[in-house]
Amino acid sequence: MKLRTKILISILFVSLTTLSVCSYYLVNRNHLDNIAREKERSLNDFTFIMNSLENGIDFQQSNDDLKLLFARYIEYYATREIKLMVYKNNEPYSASFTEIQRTKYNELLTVQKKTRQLQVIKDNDLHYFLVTGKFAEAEEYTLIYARNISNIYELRTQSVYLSLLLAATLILLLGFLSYLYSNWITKPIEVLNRGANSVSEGNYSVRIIPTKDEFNDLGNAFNQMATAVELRTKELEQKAKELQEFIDDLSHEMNTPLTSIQGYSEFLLNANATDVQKLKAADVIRQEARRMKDIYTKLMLITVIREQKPEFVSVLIEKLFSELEASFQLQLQEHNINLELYNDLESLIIDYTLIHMLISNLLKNSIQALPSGGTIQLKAYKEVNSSIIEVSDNGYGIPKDKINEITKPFYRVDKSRSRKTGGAGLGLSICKSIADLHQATLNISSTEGEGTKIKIIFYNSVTTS
Amino acid sequence: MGHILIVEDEQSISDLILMNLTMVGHTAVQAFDSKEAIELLKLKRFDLCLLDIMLPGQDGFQLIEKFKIAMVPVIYLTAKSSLSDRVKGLNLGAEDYITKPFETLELLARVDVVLRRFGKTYTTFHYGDVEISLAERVVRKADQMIDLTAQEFALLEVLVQNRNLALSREKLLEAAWGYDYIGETRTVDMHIQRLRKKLDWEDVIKTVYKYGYRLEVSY
Repeated sequence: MKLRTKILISILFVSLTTLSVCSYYLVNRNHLDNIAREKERSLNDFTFIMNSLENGIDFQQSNDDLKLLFARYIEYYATREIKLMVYKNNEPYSASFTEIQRTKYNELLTVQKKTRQLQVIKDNDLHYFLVTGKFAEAEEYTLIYARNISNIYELRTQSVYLSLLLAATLILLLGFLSYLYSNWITKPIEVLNRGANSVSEGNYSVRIIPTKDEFNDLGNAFNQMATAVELRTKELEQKAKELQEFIDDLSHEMNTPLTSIQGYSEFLLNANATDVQKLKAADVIRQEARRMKDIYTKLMLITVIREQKPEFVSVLIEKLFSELEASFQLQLQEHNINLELYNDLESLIIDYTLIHMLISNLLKNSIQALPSGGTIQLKAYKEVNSSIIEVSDNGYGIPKDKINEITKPFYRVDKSRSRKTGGAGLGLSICKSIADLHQATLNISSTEGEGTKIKIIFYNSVTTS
Repeated sequence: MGHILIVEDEQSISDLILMNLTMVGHTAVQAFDSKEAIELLKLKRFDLCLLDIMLPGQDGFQLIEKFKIAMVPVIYLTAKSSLSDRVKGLNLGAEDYITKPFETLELLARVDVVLRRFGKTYTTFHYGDVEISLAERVVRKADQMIDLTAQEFALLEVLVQNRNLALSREKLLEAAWGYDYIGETRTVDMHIQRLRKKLDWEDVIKTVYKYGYRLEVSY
């Protein structure tokens, strides 16, 4: 059952019960008062009539005279709406009720001398107050006094009807008012409900306007929840979008070598080709297969870096740098490029293999971006709250609008040049994965024509100096 | 045959297309970016352009305007295979849209269709003393008319259009008899035998072992 309905029913139940009890009490009380008054009056009347009969009647006279005398009295009082009867030896003597059966008031005839008996007798719809007593002078005669009090009972019935009518009117009025009231009380719940429905339908931007009651906290909690849901959903959407982009890029990246492999193998199969052409075709197939393998290996590497638990150990920077220099010596000589080292750090807590790979990738990029005679600087130094390893060159640089894109998988600033050098466009993606693992950030700044500077910023949690 | 401009930044794919086009008798020139393509367009006349969409510099969608002005029909050759890209490409006025990876025979067939549409294909083919007129549908050998059935001519036409390329029996059946023709590959062999005899081309129509046939011509 809805809370609103519960409130409505409770209000109606309580008010109707109170109303019924009160009106029952009032009606009943009034009725009893009326009865008591009638009783008083009937007894007085009876005593008065008894006295006047005893004074005015001589019981020694003849039966006929006596009957006549009683009849005259009875007739007289009948005009005053009082019925009288006289019984002699428990048998009707003068006048008799037709309204009430005798069996109903038999009991009253057993009245004792000098006492009176009274009782309300009901027959059909009529109510009578009956009083009986025996004459002091002639005990065989019993006087019965009857007074119609039906109007009192009618009054009670009317009162009951009236209070029922009143109750019905009140039910309507109260029903209407408590409907409004319960709506007003449960409105915040309704609002919350609608908000929750909205959220479940995917409208995460819905917020609840705070009220100034207990629902305020609940509303705030709801809003916090909606905000969290909205944020997560956006995050997920963003991730899904990035993933889709990645898949698009990957399929494009795979498509090119596939096209070559398919085309050249068909050519080998079908064409009346010369030996030189055949050699070229075979060579292209080999190269393109190697390119696909390269992409595969690098993607696997990124996955491994993401999944693997890195081994953080204290690494002497001096040692790291000299090993890097040694491994790049041949390449540097070949391209006629200078490598300048500068170290201000003692050691860093890092995964040696991964950071070695990261810096190697950056150095490779720099070598490719440099003309003969260029210079690469590899530096390690401390800043406030962080330690930094920096690779900078005075090469071609990266166009400004492309700096944000270069860590995306498969992104190449110069497509044709890096294809010739065999790059898959995954180097910086690998670097970023490694940096993420160290909770380090990559800061890339570059000016076209002047060179590129990439900083790996390690925060204090994993560094010593 | 046509003179074709290949605009494709991937060297190996560009070379592949060039080799296949020259194999069947077309001539072709390569451009590796949009700048080069525009330069070549100014200098020479082309019958057709095979245009990649993702190019360094201006992309293929932007470049097509230049080709329209020069009245060179364009076939897009691209890895962009989504419906919206196809629709965009065709709406911009390309004659056809081929997605990578593509089959060589399909590429050549589509090139032929576009060349024929623009009347740029040579309708007669000479080799030795044989002259085949594709428009008139007649074959002469030493100025003598050779009697060929319609089916034999259709087969000869497929061989000529894909000359120097090996065609499997299934491919020949599909191309010369039609997709829904239900027949045995032996039918192909019988027709080939007759063509060889009628044209005296025992050495020209070569059997490719366990595969099919190839019309081998050298220029």
